[in-house]
Amino acid sequence: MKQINFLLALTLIISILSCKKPKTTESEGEFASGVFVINEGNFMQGNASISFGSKDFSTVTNDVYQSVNNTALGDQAQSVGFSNNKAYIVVTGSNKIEVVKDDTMERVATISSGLSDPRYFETIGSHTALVTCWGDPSDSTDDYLAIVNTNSDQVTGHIPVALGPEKMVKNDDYLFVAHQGAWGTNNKVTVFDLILKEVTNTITVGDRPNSMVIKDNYLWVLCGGEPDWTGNETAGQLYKIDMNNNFNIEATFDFATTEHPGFLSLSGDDLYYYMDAKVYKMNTGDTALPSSEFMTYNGEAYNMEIYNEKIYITDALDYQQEGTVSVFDVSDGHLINQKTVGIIPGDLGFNF
Amino acid sequence: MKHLLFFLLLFIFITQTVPGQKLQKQNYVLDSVFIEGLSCKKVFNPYQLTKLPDSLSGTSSLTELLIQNTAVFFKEYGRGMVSGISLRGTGPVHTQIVWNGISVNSILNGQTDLNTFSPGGFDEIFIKKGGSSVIFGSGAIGGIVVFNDKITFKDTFHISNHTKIGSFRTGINHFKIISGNNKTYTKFGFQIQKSKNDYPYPGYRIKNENGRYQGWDFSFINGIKLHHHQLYIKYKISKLDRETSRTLYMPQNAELFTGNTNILSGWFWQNRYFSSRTEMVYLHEKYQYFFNKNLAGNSQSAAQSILVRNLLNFRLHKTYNLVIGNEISKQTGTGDHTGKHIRNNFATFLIWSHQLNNIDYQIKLRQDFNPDLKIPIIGALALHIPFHTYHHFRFSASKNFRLPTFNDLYWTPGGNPGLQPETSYSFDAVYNYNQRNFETHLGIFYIDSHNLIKWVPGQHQYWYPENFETVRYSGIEVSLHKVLKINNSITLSNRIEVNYNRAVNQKNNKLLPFTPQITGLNSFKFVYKSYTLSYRYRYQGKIFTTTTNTKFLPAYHLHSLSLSHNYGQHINIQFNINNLLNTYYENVPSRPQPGRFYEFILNFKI
Repeated sequence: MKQINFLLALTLIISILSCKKPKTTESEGEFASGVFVINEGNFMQGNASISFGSKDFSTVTNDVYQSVNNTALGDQAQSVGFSNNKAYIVVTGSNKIEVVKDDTMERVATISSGLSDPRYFETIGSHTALVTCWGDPSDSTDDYLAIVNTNSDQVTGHIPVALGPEKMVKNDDYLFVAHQGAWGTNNKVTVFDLILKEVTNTITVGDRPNSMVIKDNYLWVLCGGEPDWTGNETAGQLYKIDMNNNFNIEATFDFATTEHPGFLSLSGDDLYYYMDAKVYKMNTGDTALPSSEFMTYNGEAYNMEIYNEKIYITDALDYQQEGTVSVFDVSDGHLINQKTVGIIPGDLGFNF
Repeated sequence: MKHLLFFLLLFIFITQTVPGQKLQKQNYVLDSVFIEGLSCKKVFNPYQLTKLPDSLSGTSSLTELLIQNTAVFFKEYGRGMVSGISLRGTGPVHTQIVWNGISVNSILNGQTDLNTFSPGGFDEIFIKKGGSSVIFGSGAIGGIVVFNDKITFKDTFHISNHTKIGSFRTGINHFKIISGNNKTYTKFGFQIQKSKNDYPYPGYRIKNENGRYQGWDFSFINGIKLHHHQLYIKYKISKLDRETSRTLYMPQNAELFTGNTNILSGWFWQNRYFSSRTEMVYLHEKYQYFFNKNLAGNSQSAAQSILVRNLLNFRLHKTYNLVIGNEISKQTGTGDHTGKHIRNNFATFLIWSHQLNNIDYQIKLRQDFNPDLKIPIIGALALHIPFHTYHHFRFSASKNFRLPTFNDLYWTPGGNPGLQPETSYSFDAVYNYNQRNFETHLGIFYIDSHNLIKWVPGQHQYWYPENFETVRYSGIEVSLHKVLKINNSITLSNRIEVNYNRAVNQKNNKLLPFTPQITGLNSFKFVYKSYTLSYRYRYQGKIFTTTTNTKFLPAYHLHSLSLSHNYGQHINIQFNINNLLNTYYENVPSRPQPGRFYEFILNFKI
């Protein structure tokens, strides 16, 4: 009862606050400018949530989706993407995308038809987006990209792809899909031509490509490699791929067999990645991997992203309590802010 | 608080009226109950022991039976789904299920899914709280739940049939036949059950999709007596096919098949000073899990145990005796995620019981010999002080252990072959007041558990188990039972049980999640001639769902009503209304239990 009262009070406060400001532009709501933290929640416990951090991450509001919409978000929120002044929250376990206004968090639609284990959302046009979908994780041949119309908020088509599509990056010409392999393993990057609107190429990379960035004419793909428990451990690898030369692999950087890096990010001319509680920094012009770390993280990252010259590291702690997001300065690695968010914080959506 | 008051008021009302009918004598018998024939002249039990009613025919699953008759907590993943018992705030792996004296918890995951265990055919079912590792080995820390088939050599012939139909297209039929004379005994039981189980979630527009289950269970008990010797066999086989139901926010299309076979053969002989019981046991468990029931791909695991046990009971004197037990076992587990592994174990234990003028005591010791694990020597001491006719004080202290399971040791990824056994120390103090028609139990306990095995997130994106936690459990257990016979046609009875526990993780000083602190049961029965009206109230306190105790499942109150009528000696009908107020509740997050539902039961017996 107390909780409900609290939620009611919170909703009331939020609605009063949002009433106070006359709506002049489309981005004037409570959550108009800041960071969406997607808290995955525990598997099958239905406790996924959204936290919202201010631009400088000095203040964080937790459980914002629940407070605004008065309903739970669902099971295993995976990621968030933005399109048409709306935020698309991909909820993998519940096989749906909750569409909310990106400034007020009010739900405007739920996309559930046509989605099967949806993972990540990427806008590719004024009213078109793609969503990577695993299909049934025990079926390795039913993976696809769902085409979403962001005006009608409906899935309008499927593009079959290789096993385990996960994260995407794009520039003006191409969208790249990394195939980490879902419950299995894969070593592909799918190239989707944004002008032709079709899959035009598939690049073979190392095992388990987990993150990508684009810098100038180059696509950088970080592969985690096969972990030790598979009995077939392979080294992590970093690929430099020339987009102007038929996706030729221009350079490959090999890690040691027991090294499995992740979370490749870009800031200026520098690449950053994470491995064994350390953040490494490498210039895009470098010809070798860095020999020592840029900074140490006191914990275990669940995700790392860089935005606006700040490094954001999420930490799930013991996975059975509210996790944290720590924000570091990208220039010297000093801690700017650390906040408690929801259970198993993962993807971050920067809406500013 | 309101409900505590309600308990008390009801109780005062009951106790102030005139005493009448004799209570069924609660059996404070120790290990003799659990290991048939292993009896001492004067034995005692310092723990809370709940004997469940003899007529077990009204229930299909063990979970249902225990929920109706005790206040213990079940971690049940929705009706009919995987269900583990939690005693004293410990986990399902810390309660050993004992079938005819043999611990039958899974070798693979350390627990018994109570919904795979049909209680229909047993003659005795007990819950005994408190540590019992000396006799029952690994995992008997929170307590044990005991199922016995009793072989008796006397002239008997019984046939009974129990049929239940209920909401959500649920049906069950249990048939039992018992035949015996002074030389032989035979019992045969067969049960089938089936349910669509598509109950609506109260307050939501969703049904319990993918929750269908069906299964069968067969048991056969046979014994012969030749002078001082008895030879017997006990056999139980069960199969269950369950879909695994959706959660509030996540649809499912998985399916789980489980199969269990238990075979026990024994030879017992005795003379005036000595008895010996030798048993050979074969246990087999099998699991097959389809992540998507429409696809062929599945993961499988299976385990088997072969165990030989001998118990020698020396009746040295009228007031003291000694039991020596030896047990050798070989356990084999295979699975898609674990590979094939074998565990050999030898255990020897002794029990010394002694009755003095004003005090009884018992000393127990056990040592295991295992080539792979270092298992400490363990022991237990129990005292019983009868004080006046009705008052009894009981104290006990014991050291207990739990071995890592095959999944803990060998699961890929994460399994940690370096794990060591968990150890725990238990202390109990109990006061009992036992009169003919009024019984009370007041107990406090303290358990100090070390090296608890916990799966924790690791560096390489998978979890692994470690001897990680120290947890202290403490609590109070109260039960009261009153029977009141007003006249020849009216009898009232009331049983109240309240458990309070605190399971504190010593690392962060917080309560362990997924276990309630308070559970309570008040069952009230009104008998008028051949009619019985029963009302049951069950309370479960809030359950924390985070290790930091920031989030919780709310407490709930459940009310149920039942009316039964006997048509003469042979036929009984019963109508149940469960969850009378259509309360929404969960025992596991996002796993709603059914709202109001109905059952109709027809019992027939000769």
